[in-house]
Amino acid sequence: MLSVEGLQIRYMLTTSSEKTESSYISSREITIALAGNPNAGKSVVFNQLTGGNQIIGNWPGKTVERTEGWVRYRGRRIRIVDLPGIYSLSTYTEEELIAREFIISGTPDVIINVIDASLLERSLFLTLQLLEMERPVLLAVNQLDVAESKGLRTDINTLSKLLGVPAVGIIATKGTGLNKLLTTAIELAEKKERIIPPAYGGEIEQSILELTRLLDGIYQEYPTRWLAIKIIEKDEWLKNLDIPKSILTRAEEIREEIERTHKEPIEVIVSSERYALASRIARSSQYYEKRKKSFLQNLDLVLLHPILGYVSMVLFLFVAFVSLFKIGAIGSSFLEELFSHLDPIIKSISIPETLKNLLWDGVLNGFISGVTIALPYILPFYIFLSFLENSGYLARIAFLTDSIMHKLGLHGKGAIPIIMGYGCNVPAILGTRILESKRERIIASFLSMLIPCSARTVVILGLVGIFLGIKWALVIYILDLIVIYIVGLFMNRYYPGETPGLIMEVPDLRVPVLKPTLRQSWFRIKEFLYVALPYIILGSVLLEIIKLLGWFNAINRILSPIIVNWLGLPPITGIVLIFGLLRKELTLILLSTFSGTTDFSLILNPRQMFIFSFFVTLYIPCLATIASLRKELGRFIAFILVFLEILLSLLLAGILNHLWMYIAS
Amino acid sequence: MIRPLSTLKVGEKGKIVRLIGGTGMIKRLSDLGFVPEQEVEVVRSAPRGPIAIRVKGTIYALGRGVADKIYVDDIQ
Repeated sequence: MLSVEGLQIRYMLTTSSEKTESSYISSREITIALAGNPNAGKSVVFNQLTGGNQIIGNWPGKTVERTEGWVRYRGRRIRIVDLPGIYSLSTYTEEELIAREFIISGTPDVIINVIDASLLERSLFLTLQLLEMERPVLLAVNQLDVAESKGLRTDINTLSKLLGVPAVGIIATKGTGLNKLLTTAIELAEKKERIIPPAYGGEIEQSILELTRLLDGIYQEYPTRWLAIKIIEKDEWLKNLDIPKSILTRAEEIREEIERTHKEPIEVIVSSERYALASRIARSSQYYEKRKKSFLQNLDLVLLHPILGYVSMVLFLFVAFVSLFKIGAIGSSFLEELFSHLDPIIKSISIPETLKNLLWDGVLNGFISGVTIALPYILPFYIFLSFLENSGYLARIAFLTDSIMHKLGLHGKGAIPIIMGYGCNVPAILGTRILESKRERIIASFLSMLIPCSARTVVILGLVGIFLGIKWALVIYILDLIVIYIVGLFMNRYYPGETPGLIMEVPDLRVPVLKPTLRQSWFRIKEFLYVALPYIILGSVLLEIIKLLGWFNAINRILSPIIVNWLGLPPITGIVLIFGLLRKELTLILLSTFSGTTDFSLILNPRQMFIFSFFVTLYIPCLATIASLRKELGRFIAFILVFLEILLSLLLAGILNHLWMYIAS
Repeated sequence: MIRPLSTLKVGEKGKIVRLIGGTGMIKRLSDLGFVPEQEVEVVRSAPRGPIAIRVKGTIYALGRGVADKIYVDDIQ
């Protein structure tokens, strides 16, 4: 671990569009960028260095924005920028653009290239591209323990020599080697040595050299050799520069000649050339000793199996669901018991009646309901979610669901943000960035919005689960999946466009390390305590004020045609559902504070409980979700999607209500 | 025999000879290591579903449509 006294952290999220703060950087300040493949461990290194709470996970596309943190080390302020995980710097995924843009114009003093030692050759492909840009690169050879267990021994000195850059071996999850990494990075930043880019072979190298000569001295701000490579690759970024016609014509001739001899498109030839070099370097610096297949590798074959894979997926999700409910119910009744003992003590305090209403019914009941109803379900759920992220199982689910997702106009990767939606819809909508087209992003965002997030899970489990039984809660989840499936079918059918094919890494399965898993759950719980709980208390107080002002009945009367006649719910749920716009669990919590009991069977009959939970699951997304929709897809599309969702929920919940009443009568 | 990657059975290996398709997809695949001469192995394959391929030590999930566009030959 880093033993730096008083690690000073300022943690913030910035988007790629924001300008860098280069003007603030004094000579004592250093900017370090972390670059590397997805799952190489950049975010773990980032968290270890800054103490930040960057969400880590064993699934592709988790960091879609760049994250910044500060660390104080030996009297220096160091800015650490965690770039999204990328495989290459030449294709045009959102992640690659963000990373490349920062490396070109963010001018980091040092780029720490975090690589997975167990996937050396593939990792070096990106390393070579970073070296082409002639910026100071420091290689952090991570996951040495994982590589070792696969029978791979890495000679870090040879690796460093062959690449011509310093390299440090680390095991980021354990904190091993990070001190050395930071010291080496600082040394490198001070030396400002010239990087010698790698030389490729054959015609490619000759063409690079020829173009380098032609370009010599024209552009001061970019390395000439790098520009030459980009010209050969026909990189779209070059549009920003005004390259002389004569050079472009010559490049075209060269390109055609190469393509003629190799009978391959230029991009394949350049990639092959980079891989050939990466392969040579990897072979000279790593030794392989055959090992038996590990337990996890064998397990993986089951999890990806065409039949057993689905069986284990359904089983896994079912067991998770039941245990989450059981743990939540036990925790909830325990906390309720605890607070019921406190109840008479606080009530005996003598204060004016109005204030008492506000304080006791508003603040305190809001707090108690929030803690007893929501927390017991949310806590185990978050631990489960971290497990799902860190184990690599998400990518297996994406693989298994690819065929189904294609029917919905998505491919397997689309399942990842949708599943993350069970935690919270906000990261789900941000996570749709891993999808290739706008059409896919819109479909996936809409489907994610229909997924019951942890807040809605509180309502479903705390109301239907407790009072009608877990089977009925399961019915809501299954109904919801059916709704999602049908909505997806419709969107795929009536929203023209093609679904690109799935190309996704399936990272190795791993046993999640306990500490980061708990840490990650804790950060999410903290978010609940600091962000959601104040909202819950605020909502509860507002409701009291509305009651005191006597507006309560008026509001409920206005809403009653929808709430009472169409949805068949008691009038008080009207105002509660409006508050649900802030946070979905508020609906249930306010219902409890309003009626002064957590025994909901006193105010709702079974039909009403079911319809209420079903409606809460589908109706308008909370404010945070609407805001992220707007940010990601624009105001217009956000509006359309929210409108559609309200319409859909009213339609389905109303029909279900009338059907239920009809059958019951 | 040269054939699409999607026709290989689980456990079979092949050597990539050619990628067809749009520039964007070819670029993505070749950046991941799907380059000519590269050896690949089918780890899992679901009928009509995606297939899991091992390339350079990494497993990738490829949609069937994508795997149709990668041509492989037997390994000598």
